[in-house]
Amino acid sequence: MSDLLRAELSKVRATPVTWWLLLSTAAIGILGTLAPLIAVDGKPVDLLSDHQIRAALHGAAGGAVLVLVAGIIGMAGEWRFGQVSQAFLSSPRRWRVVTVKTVIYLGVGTVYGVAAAAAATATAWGWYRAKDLTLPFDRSAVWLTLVGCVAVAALFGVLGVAVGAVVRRPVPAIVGALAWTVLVEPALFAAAPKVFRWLPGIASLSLRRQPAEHLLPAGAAATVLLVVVAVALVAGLRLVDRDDVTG
Amino acid sequence: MVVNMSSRTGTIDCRAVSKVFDHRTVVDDVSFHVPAGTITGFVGANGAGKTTTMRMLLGLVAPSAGTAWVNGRPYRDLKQPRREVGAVVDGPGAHPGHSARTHLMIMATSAGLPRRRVDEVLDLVELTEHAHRRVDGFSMGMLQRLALAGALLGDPGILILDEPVNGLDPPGILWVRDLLRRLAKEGRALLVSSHLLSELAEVAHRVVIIDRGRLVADTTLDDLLADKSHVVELRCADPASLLQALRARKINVTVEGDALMIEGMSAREAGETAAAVGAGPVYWLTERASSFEDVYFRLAGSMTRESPARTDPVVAS
Repeated sequence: MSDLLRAELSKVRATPVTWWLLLSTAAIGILGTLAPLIAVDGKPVDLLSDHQIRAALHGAAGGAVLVLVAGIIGMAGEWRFGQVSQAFLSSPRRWRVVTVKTVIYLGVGTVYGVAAAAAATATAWGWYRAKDLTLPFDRSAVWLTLVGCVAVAALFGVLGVAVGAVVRRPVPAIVGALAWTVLVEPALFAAAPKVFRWLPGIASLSLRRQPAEHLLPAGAAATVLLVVVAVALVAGLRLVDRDDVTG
Repeated sequence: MVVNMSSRTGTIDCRAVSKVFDHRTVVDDVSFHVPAGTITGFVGANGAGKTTTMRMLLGLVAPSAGTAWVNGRPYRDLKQPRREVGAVVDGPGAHPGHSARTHLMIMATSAGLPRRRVDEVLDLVELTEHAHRRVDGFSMGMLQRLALAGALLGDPGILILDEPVNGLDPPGILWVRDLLRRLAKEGRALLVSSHLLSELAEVAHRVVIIDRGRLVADTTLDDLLADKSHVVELRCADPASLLQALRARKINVTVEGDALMIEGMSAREAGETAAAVGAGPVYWLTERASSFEDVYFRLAGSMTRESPARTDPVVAS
């Protein structure tokens, strides 16, 4: 298993899209932090309130959707260039390949999340400094938001692997996942918040401490995300193990 | 070029293997054995079931019935599969953004193989000077060499190669031919599919022919060619009437363009028959020894030659 882990890590590091998505995730983290700060600039708002701190820093997870894309590419991309045949020739027990990708993309998601959190923190720190304020790093509103953003990114990395394992065609998987996360879930939540707050993407908003009404408590949101990821992963594992690799 | 290859051996066995995709039988009760130290040509038209059979041997496709084993076990049960079996299926399976060396390094790492093997196989397939180039800039021939390098990475005793000369230029084909012979001499078992029948005739010791999923021949090349000694090629003004007359006499005849390829009668007999049925002036009449292709088309039929009646499998030890 350690050989497979090292090989998968080499594969991820050698694939250019990994680095482009990392840069984009960090950039979205910066924009996601700047946007709410610019929106309240010049207004009588207490930037040091927990609400404003969370409003600024939760943007660190704005690029989590790109971690989802990275996970999908990492798994479903194997089918695009015939790499999957080579992967299963090296490791005919396919569950090992999926398990290794799960571990690696949990790590990739964490790295992306940390990078985005660092970029968001630096951005917020600079903004506060420009306003003669100090970002209060000792406040739970800061570090719980940042930890939540990293956790969301890590879980989205694994969710991407699971979606990729179920769909196994990168383009439909990416388009479908983006449409669901960015369009369908927010629309459903807007229509009936108390019903659709259980959806995984909406639950992730709570975990990243986005200040909004009707969201689940963070603990329940984490449980929802973990259950969705686990169910999708088991489904993907079974399909990958069962289905023929025909080309 | 210094390449140290160990002399490994292995065997391949298909026993009554079948595969059904969505109620469509793609491989139907196929059995054959590839002994160590031989090259077995695997021949069939597109869609005949060659690739599916090879994928069943490699554990990529699950048989619907029967067994497809390598070294006496299913591929999935091999402890170190890359050290026992090398395969070319569907190209090198490399990410286009990776270099050849990175691709092979990832393969070697995942299989627990020493890194030095990467340089050795790059040298063997003569890709060393392109090792750091991205794969998306490779020609078809270079991709085939890279695929072969991947197959040879574990120095395996069994090689299952699906169309390994596809896309290679003539020097590349010669190079593959020499490589295959050398590998077989070292005791390895090679199953090689190709649509270039003449190419397989150059290197194969044995031939397995399948047609529409069914085995039609599993024999040595010598036995296959000894089966029929001559073929008559005839072109005339009315080939349809001659074809009808020959078929009525149970003569084995296939159509290739405007020519009839006739087996089991002499050129003189064929010419006299054409005259007797009024098939018009004969433009071309020649008799030659049956080639591998003639026998193949007789046994398997094809898209390019008119299919003859189905025959029982030709099986020899």
